[in-house]
Amino acid sequence: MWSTFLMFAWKNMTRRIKTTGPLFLCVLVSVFAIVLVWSSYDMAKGGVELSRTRMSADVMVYPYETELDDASMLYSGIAQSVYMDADIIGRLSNGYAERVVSQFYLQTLPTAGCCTVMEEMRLVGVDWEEDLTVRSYLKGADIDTLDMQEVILGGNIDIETENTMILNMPVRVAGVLETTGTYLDDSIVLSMEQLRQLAKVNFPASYFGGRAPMDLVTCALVELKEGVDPQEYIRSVEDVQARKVLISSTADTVQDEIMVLFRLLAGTAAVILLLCVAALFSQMQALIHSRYREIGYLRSIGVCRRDVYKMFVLEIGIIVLAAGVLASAAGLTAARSVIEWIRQYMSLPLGGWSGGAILVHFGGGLLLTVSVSAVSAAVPLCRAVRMPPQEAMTRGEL
Amino acid sequence: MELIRLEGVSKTYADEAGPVLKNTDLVVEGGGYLSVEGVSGSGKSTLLYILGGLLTPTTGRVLYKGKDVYSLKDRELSLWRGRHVGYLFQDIQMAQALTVRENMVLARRFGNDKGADIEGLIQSLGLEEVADKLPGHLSGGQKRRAMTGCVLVRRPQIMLADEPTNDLDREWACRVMDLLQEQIHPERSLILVTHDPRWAASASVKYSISDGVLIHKE
Repeated sequence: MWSTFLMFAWKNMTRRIKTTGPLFLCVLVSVFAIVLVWSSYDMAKGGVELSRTRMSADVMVYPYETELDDASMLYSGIAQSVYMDADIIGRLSNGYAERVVSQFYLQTLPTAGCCTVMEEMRLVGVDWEEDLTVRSYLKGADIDTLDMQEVILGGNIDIETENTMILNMPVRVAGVLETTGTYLDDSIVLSMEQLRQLAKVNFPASYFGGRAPMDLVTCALVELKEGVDPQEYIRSVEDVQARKVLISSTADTVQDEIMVLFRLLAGTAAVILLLCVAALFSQMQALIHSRYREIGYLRSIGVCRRDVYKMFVLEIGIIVLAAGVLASAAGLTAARSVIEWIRQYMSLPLGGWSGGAILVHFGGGLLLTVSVSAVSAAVPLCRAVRMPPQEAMTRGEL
Repeated sequence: MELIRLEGVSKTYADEAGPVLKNTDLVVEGGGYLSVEGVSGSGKSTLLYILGGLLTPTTGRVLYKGKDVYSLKDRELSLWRGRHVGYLFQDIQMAQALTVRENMVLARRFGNDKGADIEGLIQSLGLEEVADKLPGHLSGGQKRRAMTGCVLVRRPQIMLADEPTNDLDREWACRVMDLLQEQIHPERSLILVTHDPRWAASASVKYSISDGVLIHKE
């Protein structure tokens, strides 16, 4: 019997495109709008949250010469080869600081002798044992030490794990980082000492303003002691000639900006959803009303009420589920593009999306589809099916 | 053998002042061929709807082999309609998204004879060239013949034909009436509603209906 119902549903769906098409479109547009905004928001919020949770540093310090704002410095992927003297670490380590660690960035150049990595790529030198940012994103088991010639790859780096040379040095891939949506995704992490040595060998001294790479750092990250007010710490290092960024307030600012933007998007999506749901109700009503005569005819040849329900639920179900699956998948895919687009205008980290998160958003889209469609179809369908066959036939459209 | 019996059946529609069908008694025997004549609005179609289990009477009972069909639950009543009643409606009624052949397959699925020869019927009704077309693409006469095929494929015990020769030319009207009459059998009967005295005259039992009152003509 189900094969008969399925055949009937399929023929109706494909041969009555003038009534099923608008229904499909209504579901598609409304679910797409909601999944897009919901996923984009979660992705952006998740990225900020993840950065906030995992980054145990409270203050970031970097040179005044850097041409980036605070949020961009924290979240963007733009490489900055601007350096400050390494002795700044000592001056930042006062009574308020639990620990101060530094990082050293270097841009590889295709002409600089990178053998197998032929594209421009950022190298990040870290003090692995003391690291406050990179280490928490390591996939799999933690690594205690990062030996010389060992590298950790960012989530977007795709190079061979064996026989790879960077700046003429053979390296071994010790681990891979999760995707973070930040500069880390496109970076290769080495020990700072190793990277400074590579810089010295492969780059002219003029690249570092005549200074020795071993005496330079790109930024410093400060973890404060428990209960210390970050503002107080910043006042205590006022004489240090570098820009100081309060990481938590920068994250708050970014999150506030995200909220404003997404409220606007959510408002737009809500208007689209309302219009589409109204259209969906009307389409569903039209679809079922146009089939009154057919329902009457089906009843007359022996199809019982329950089976008429099954036929219509199957038909409407196929239409809305097809639209829902398509809309949810498209919404999820488009969300990534929306975030990338937003990142052109504001610094935003991307949350690494797990399979679970994708399932939740995909499932949510489908649940929305089924709920809205069920609500819109229930009343007209019940009315049509409960009608005596003779009445259904005489009330239907000719 | 008695197939179906109406006892004191009346029908009043919600939007009508008086009954459309008044206190009607009728017995249809197996192998019977009944004709009902009457002017438009006299209650002919209402009588057929009630006989076919499609419209609950306001009063009275419809008994099939002694059992009141309107006391059956929806599933049982539907099963009864599918197995025992073939209704050839005055207006064209078919599944619009199915081709003629698919409509017949669907009808056969709910009928008495799951192995009924669809291709033979298509040939008998001259539908070979339009069997894979949707009802919307057929002429009036072709639709009428296709509907006839959908009824015959189910081999119902009680055939209710409401103006079955509408839209048909003389030749096809004769062939369709022949096909319907060929179905009459000791356990099958035909009830024909018609304006055409020629077809009415061919029935073995003749009725007329006037202002909702069914009158036995002989």
